[in-house]
Parts: sequence; C-alpha cells; structure tokens
Amino acid sequence: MGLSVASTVSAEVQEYEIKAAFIYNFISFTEWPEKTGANINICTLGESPLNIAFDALKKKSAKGVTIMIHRLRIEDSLKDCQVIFLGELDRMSFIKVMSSLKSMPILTVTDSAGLVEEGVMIELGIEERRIVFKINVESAKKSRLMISSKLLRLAKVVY
Amino acid sequence: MELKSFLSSPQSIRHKLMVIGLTTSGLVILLFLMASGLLAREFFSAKQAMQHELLSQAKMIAENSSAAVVFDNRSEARKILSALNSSPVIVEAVISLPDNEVFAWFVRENFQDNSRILKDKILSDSGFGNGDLTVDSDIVVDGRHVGTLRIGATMKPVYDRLLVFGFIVILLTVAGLAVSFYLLRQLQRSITGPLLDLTDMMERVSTTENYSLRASIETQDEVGLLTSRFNEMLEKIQLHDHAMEKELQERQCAEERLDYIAHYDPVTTLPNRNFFNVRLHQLSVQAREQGVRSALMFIDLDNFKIINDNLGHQVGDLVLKAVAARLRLMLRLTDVISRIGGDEFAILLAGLPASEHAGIVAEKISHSLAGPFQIGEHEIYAHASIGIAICPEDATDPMDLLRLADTAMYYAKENGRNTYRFFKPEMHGKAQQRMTMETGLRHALENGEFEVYYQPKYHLLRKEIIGAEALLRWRRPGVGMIGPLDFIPIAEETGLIVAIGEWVLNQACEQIAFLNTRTRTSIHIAVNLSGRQFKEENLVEQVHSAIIKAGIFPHQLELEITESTLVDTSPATLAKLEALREMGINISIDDFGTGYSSMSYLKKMPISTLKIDREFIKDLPGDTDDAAITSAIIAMARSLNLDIVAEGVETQQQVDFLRAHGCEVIQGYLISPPVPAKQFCEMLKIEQQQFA
Repeated sequence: MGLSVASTVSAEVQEYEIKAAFIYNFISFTEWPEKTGANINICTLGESPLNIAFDALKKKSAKGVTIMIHRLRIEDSLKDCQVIFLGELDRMSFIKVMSSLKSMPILTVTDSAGLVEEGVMIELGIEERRIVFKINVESAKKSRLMISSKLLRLAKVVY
Repeated sequence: MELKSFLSSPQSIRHKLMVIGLTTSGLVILLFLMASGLLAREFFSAKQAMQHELLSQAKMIAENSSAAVVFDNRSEARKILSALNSSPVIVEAVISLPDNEVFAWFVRENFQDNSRILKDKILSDSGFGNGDLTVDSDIVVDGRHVGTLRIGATMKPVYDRLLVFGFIVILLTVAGLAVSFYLLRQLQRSITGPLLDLTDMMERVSTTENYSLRASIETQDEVGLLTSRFNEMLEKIQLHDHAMEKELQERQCAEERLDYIAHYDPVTTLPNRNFFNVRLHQLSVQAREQGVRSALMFIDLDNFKIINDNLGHQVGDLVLKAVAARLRLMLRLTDVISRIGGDEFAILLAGLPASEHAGIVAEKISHSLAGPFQIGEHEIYAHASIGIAICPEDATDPMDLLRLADTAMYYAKENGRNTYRFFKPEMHGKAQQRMTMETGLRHALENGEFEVYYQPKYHLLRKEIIGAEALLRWRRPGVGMIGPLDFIPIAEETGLIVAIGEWVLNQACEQIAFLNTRTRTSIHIAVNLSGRQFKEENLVEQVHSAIIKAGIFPHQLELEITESTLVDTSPATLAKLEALREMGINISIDDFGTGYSSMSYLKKMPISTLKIDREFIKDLPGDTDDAAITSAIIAMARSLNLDIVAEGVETQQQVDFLRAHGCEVIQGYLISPPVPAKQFCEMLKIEQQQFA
C-alpha cells in the first residue's frame, strides 16, 4: 500500500508525514544518470522534525529497490546518496554541502524557504494549508538528473 | 424477358412456385444476413476502435495525472482531465483513489445531469449503464497503484452511423420486397391469367352453348394441362351433344313414324282401324245428338286370298294399294276410308240426306273395282262385296254398326259376290250362324267331332275298287252332319285348316294300314291338301311321319291339290312336290280344268294323276262343249302319261262316254257316295268275296 496523501494539512504531524511522502514520491519522478546500487539512499543533513517521519519510509522500495534512510553529518561523504534532505543547517554548512555536491547526481530537497533559489533542487513549502513545492530545474540539469515533466507541472518552477 | 420465358416454360406451377419462392425468400434472407452481418460488424468494429481509442487516451491521462494524484493536486488533475474535452465521444472521466474517494472528475457540459449517476456508479463500482462505453486505467507511480481513471464515452456517433446504415438496410429490404412482389405478381399472373382466360371461355361456352369452342393452350404446366383437359371435355360434350341431337332427331322420327303407323296403314297409306274407330265414334255421337245420318260401308275383296296365295304378298300389297287408290277417287274429302283388316276396307260416309245415297256410292265402288288391275305383268281382278249399315237407323253404337255392316257384307258375298247389300234385320240369323260355326270349328278337333268319309274310285276295266278319296265330315252336336263346302272356307280363313288337314292325313294313313291287314294292299287313298297346308314349312315331314307312324307303302297315299295351288311355280313349291314324289307319293290335280289352266306346268310338275272336275262330267254326253273338253283332257293326260279320274260320275251314259274316250277310273254316286271307314272296308271285303 502506497502512501496516501491527505488532502489538507490538519496537524503538524501530518505535515511532516506528508512531506516525507512527497520526498518519497519525488524519487519516482526523477531519473538518475547512472544506475543506482542495491538501495536508494535517502540521506538527511541537519536537524528536522521530518527526520522522525522518514522512519516511515524505511524498508519501502522505489524504482525496484529498497529505500534506506541515513542520517549524515556534514563531514560524511555524500557520494552514495541519491537523495539528500537538507534540514536546519547553518549557512556555512549549507554552502559547504552545496559545493561538495557540485554536480553530483543527487537530488537535493529542503523545506527551508529560499533555498531553491540557492541551488537546492526541490523546496517544500505550505501555501493555503496545502503543501506545495518549487523546483530548480537548472540545478537538476547540472547534476544530470531528469525530473519528470509531470512533476514540473505541479511545481513552481525556478530557474 | 427471361422471367417471362421462365413463367411460360413447360415447368410445372409447383416448380415455378418453388423457384420463385426460394429465389425471393433467399433474396430476403441474404439481404437480412448481409445487413445484420454488416451492422454487427460495423457495431463491433466501431466499438472496438472506440474502446481502443479510449483506452489509449485513458492510459495517457492516467500517466499524466499520476503526479497530480500522488501529490494531491486536485486542480492539476482536473486540468489534465479537462484535456478530454477535445475528444467529443468522452462525456466524463473520474479519477478515484484506492479507497474509492473521488479525486477529480470531468463532465462534458451538456452531460452534466448524468455525472452524478456516473459518479455514483463509480462509487459503487457496479459498472456503467445505458450501453455506453467505459474504460478504466490504473494510475501507477513507480509500480504503485495510486488511483484509477475511469473514462465514460458516448457511443452516439456510432449509433448515428448505424442508424444511417439501418436506413440503407431498410431501403434495400424495401427494394428486395419490391423485387419479390414483382416476381410473385408475374408468377400469379402466369397462373391466374390462363385461369381467368379459361374461366372466360367456360362462361362463353355456357352462355352460347357452342361446344365447338376451344381454349388456347399457352403454357405447358398444370394450367396448360387443365386447359387441354377442358378442351377434351368440350370435345366429349360436343360429341355427346351431337349424339344426343341425332338421337333426339331419330327418336322424333321414330315417334312420328310410330304415330303414323298407329293411325295409318303402311301398305295403302290409308288411315287404319284406330283412326277409323275414333271417327266412327265421333259420327255415332253426332248421330245420337244431332240426328246426322251416316253410312258405314264394309268392303271385302272377293278373291284376294287367292291372289295373295298364288302371286305372293308383294303383288297382294300392290293390289290393295291400287284398290285403295280407286276407292279414294270415289269419295268426297269428308268421307273416311280405312283399311281395317287384311283385305277389308271400311268407309264412313258422313252427313247423308238419305240412306239411298250410300247405295249409289256402293254401286259406283263396285263398278270401279270391276275393271282389271294391271300389276306388273299380271292382270288381276279384285271384285268386292260391300255391306252397308246406316246410322242411326240400324244402330248408333260403333261396335254394333261394324258388326251389322260386316253381316251385310257376308250376305253380299253369299249372294253372288261383286255386289252390295244394306243390312236388314233378318240377316242377323245367318251371320250369327256363321259366327257360331267359327267358334264351333275351333273346338271340333279337340272334341273329336270330325269324321273321315271315303268315296271309292272304281276301275272300269279291272272292275274293282282301287282306292278312295278321303272326305272330311263334321258331325256337329245338335246340328248334324255338315259337308266340307260349308265349313272348309271358314277353316281356311281362320287357319284351322292346317291342324285339321294334318288330322285327316293321319286318319287316312291309319285307315290304309287297317285296310292292309283286313283287305288288300293295292288300295290307295287320296287326301285333299289345301293351298294353306301346302304353304306349311314342314309339310313334307308331316307326310313322312304320317306314313312311318302308320307303317304303309308311300304309293298308297295320294295327295290331291287344286290347280290354283300349282299356279305358284316357286322353287319352294316345286321342291316340296319333288320331295313328296321322291318319297313315292302320288300327286293328283283336283278339279282339273276349272282353274287358271296353263298347260305348261303339267309338264314341269311331278304329278301322276288328273281329276276331271264334276262340272264337265255333269252334262255328259249331251253337252258338246263339256264332251269336247273332257275328251281333250283325257287325250292330253294320256299323251303326258298321266292317270286320269273322272269325278261326279252318276249315270251309265257318262261311264260309256268316258270309257270310250279312254278314262278308266271313275268316282261318283254311280259307284258309291262317300261312306264311313267301316262301310268302305265292308265294300272291299264283299268285292273280294265276289272275286273269290
């Protein structure tokens, strides 16, 4: 049974659950340039209430492989990650991560406002009690990630 | 035209019906099959194409909407669904989530009302109604089922197309029906046409009764057969009709002829007795009621029997015809003349002022009949005796009148013939006498009242009796002995003579046999044979059986016939005579010299003896004429080598004359009158004793 998405956000818990589900679904609409390994690794950086919600994604599969959740620190290598969720990071850490990522084929996702303009590929936000997202197509292209047009239709596209 | 030639072909109607029926029904079935096949094919292919189209559309939409579903973007989902607006057959689309929650839907504007139904149906997941088409497509994201898209399409365009198609089918069916109708009507015409023609013909035949009409045969099928049978029937009716007509004509002819025969005598063409009786009855009524006087004349030809017997019936008939013609000339148109019997005529003279007038008419008739009739080579005299009865003086009853006239006629006959007599009351007795004699005669034979007498014949040289002539006597009870002259003519008239003659013949033969045992066997007895007897077919057999029965020598029997019998020199007569002669029987001519003497027959006929008539002997030897005749007869007989017998010899002078001229056998009172058999036998015995 897949994740169902609530139509409205009625509680905070629900908000994070939905956000986790969103992230999970982003995997489905994204193409990586080379074949992923045995797992799809979702890595988190920085603190976020979402981190708990990610637990729900453990052992789920996407693109035929199992999803693994990894909580990383800034100094950890990011190269085995397919998805990186950026939580609350200080500015320095953010810049360091972004630079280390450079053009690595890793989907970057955040729910911190304004980061999409700074190169994060997908930024989740709330609008009229609904969860919406912005996509930086430029960043994705640089990282050789193909984001489905279907997804793009739903997003506020940022170049 | 092919159809026309088929319908008039010699195929049976059964065959035609079958061919046309099968053709039309086949046509319709073919049309139906084709139409329904095409329709079904059209429908299914259209449906399939549509389904295919819908499915690919649904897949596209499902694909496109998967993100919207996953990311809970309903407005985007609606937007994607609204793209279906460009496909005119799709009327609605619904995206539902796995928990059956409706996520987004699309409804074509003019189908708004039905959307609820569709939505409800999707909610209950019980399929789609109204024959419209629905397709489902799963919305899958990365192998995960996240929702379902259901698209509902209207098949109205398909139906519209099918409607057009159906319309074409109907058109084709109508065309097929029209063809069938045409074919069947042609068939019906080909059957009913000739039938109607036939009906017309029958009506014409029955109204005109013209059975020579014939119906023309146009087809060779059952109707043609019917027509030809009808013609055959007409032919038969025509033949039958002809036959009937012919039969009717023949019957009419026969009836006319019967009617003629019933009222007219075919020989003389005079009215016959029936007609005469009717007229007589009318006159008798007139006489009684109005006192009109009429005369009834009864005419009998005096010697017609002799003419008939000797010259044959054909000559006799011609004589009757000639007599009738002469009688007719003597009479007024109002008088009725009729032939009422063999040689008897009757005349009715109506409305006489006096009875004497009848006498004048009778006189005229007598006079007219006195002249000879020339019938072929024969010159014939047919004198008549006429009896007259006057109505109402003598009688008024028709039967009485006839009887009285008949009586008067007999009276005329007895009074010298060729004359007429009015009826007088005193005639009654004589006529009655004759009547009673006739009835008495009928019973005489069975009552044994006849007796044969024998008058001896004497041989002058041998001075002995050599035989006798058998003579019939009638011992009539209460009257006494009656001589042959008084009853033989009546016996001849009534035909009784045949039976009587046979009886005499047998009696004579028995007598000869008796004499043979008692006296001598040289005695021969002569029996008179009447002309009537001679006409009998079995005369020779009769004579033969009489001889055999009695057991006598044939030469002992002698048959005496009159000259008139011999006038008929027909082969049949000659054959009988020769047969008798061959048997050994002697034949003598009786009363020789009185008849129609033609000497030539004497040579031709196988006769042995001539008997000179007593008329010539009577006045011998004084009468020179008789003497000359007698001597001539005797001379002739001698020259012809015939025996000769003189009859009625009563005196010695006669004997002397006869003996002088060479006649040796005599018969007469001088020797003996006719005597009973017993006495004749005695005479012979006495003679024998004398000689002895």
